[in-house]
Amino acid sequence: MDKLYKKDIVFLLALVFFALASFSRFFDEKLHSHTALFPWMKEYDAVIVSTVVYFIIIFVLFVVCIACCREKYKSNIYYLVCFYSTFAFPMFLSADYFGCTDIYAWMLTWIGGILLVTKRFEWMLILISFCIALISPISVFSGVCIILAILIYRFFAKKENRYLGYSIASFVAACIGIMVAKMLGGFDLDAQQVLSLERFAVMVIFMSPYLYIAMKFFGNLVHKAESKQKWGIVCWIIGILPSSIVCIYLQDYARAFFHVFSYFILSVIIHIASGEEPVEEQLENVKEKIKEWSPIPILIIAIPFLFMTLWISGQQFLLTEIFVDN
Amino acid sequence: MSKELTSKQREIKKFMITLLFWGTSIFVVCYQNVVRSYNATLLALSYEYGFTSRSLLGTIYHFLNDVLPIDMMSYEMVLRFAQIVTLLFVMFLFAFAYFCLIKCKEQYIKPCEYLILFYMLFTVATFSGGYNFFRVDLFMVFIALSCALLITYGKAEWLVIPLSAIGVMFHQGFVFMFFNIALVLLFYKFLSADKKGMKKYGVIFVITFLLGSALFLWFEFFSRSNGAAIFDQIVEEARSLALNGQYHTTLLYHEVLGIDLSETEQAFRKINIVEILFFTFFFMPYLVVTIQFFKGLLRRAKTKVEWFKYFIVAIGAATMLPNFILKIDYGRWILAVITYYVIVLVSLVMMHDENVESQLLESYEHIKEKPGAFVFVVFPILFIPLWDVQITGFIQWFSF
Repeated sequence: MDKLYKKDIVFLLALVFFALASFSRFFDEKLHSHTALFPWMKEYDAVIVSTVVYFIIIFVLFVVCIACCREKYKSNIYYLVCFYSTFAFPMFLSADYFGCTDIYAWMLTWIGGILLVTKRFEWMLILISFCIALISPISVFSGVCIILAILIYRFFAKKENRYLGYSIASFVAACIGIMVAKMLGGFDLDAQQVLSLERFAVMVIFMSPYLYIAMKFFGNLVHKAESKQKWGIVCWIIGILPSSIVCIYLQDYARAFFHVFSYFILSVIIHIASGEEPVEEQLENVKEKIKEWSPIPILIIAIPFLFMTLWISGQQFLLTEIFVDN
Repeated sequence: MSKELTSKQREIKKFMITLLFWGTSIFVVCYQNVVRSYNATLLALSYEYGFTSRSLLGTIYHFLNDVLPIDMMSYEMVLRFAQIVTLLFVMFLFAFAYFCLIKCKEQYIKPCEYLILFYMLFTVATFSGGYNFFRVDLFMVFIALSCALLITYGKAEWLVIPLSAIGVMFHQGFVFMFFNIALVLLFYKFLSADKKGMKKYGVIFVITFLLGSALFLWFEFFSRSNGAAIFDQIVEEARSLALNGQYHTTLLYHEVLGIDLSETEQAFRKINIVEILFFTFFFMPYLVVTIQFFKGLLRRAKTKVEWFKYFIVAIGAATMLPNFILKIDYGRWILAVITYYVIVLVSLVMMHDENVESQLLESYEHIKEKPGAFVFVVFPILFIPLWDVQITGFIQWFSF
């Protein structure tokens, strides 16, 4: 792991300011009722502490990723980290998801991400997968899928059998975790119907350019990969399906939106920080393409953040007169 | 030359498509499909009852009710009217952006694009969000932007005089909120022009200023003489125009009867003070950039006249001070301040002021170099939409 440079620290400080502002914008002191395996997870103080820890861990992940990223691709990782922050910062501060057990699952996923980037204690991913499934069964389809997708990609890309072993063991551990959660009575998907289907449909239309970007990115990646590597990329793409299908089935469209973007951005961040050359090159190509299309490339981040801020996290006010006599 | 034009046009075309996508996204996420009682009640005021304040919009609405074959005196029609007006306003904003970029030199287009995006974010969000949807400020912004276009293009500049008067007739607050844009630009042109031009801009400036001030004084102090006689009639109309018949009593007490309600605003003042402190803290990056920009601009001035000209541009938003001190709608005042700085700067670039152009480019390059710069491009989304008494949802929990 390389050290952090001054410009990395400046970027991280800007991000801390952004996190502070997000806290101010999205935090709602009310705690709605959510299901949890352990009763202490429903306590207000525990939720506050876990939210603070959530922010600390995400910053540790960012620090590790930025420090490990090659100098040539630093600007790309800044961009991705900022993009990911626009989803991760508001999500569990907003009233509907504040106190959800997903927060623990995401913390564990990020710890898994740190292990994957540093390539140390990778065996712990098995334990992490088990804990994610136990604490937040719905996160098996997001957090565990991200870990599995990266492990399987590495198995095909690096041809190291240990990654196949870790991925099988992680999958089995997640299944055991679900069974244990069910036995302990903590198996609840805790779906929140924050967005209506109509709004979700509108969001899908507005997000269609991102689908095109993703298709270009993965299309080129598959095209340039060797035969075995292709399977790794296909598995990476398929990894998004369980989470999206489950969230849409549960009508938890806000979570589906969050999971889809988080899945791809977080996995790309981890790949870039791990120095995966094909991913780095493809990201660079996509960046150049975006620069060609749009005079203001930063809007790629800004538009989903608009929906995240005003539709998913809510406008934080009610016009009382709307509800009179209605 | 033709190649340069082509690349500039291509850039503008791309930007306009981006802006359309951006503006539509903002509108979609902020729109709440409701006209607040305040904005609906305002339509009940009209010049039928005398030359009273804030009555121009109501007069136009009553006129439409008379000439159109449909009954406009219902909330449903108010909502339709508001939707059409807002749509036209957003289209006008797009047109304004296009006219700005067409007039800018190619090398200075980029910083102007960012300024326009920043302004679109706040304006479209504020006027499509429930609090300020169909607020009379929308018409005042339209007037201010039209004045800026006339002055920068140097065509039919005399129209600034009637336009400013119309702005004050929409709402006397125009004098503090948006009058500064036309006055500062006229003053800038007065100081930049030759002898003949000085005379022209001097006359337009003086007439605009006097007419605006006279109308302001009339509306503020003399226009509510027969309020009690017409009050019931206005209330009746306001009931039919407002959602669920709930009209805005405070507005009618103040505007029709002339009752001073400043006593009731004490609680809101406390909210304002707390919120403005936090708002200033979180808005600090933009304040620092603005201050640095003007410091650089003043340093670039070669003569005393030039220095004075830029100094006036820098402090032009100070006309908002009485509002910040005496009134409580801080969300609206902040939009007015943002409007002033963005529109005046873009106008000066359109007028090819070399110092402003180079300083703007320098500031842009300086910010671009910073590794965390794009965080602050996304950051303003947290502030939208601006409300009225409370600035925005961004800091509302600090004030309770």
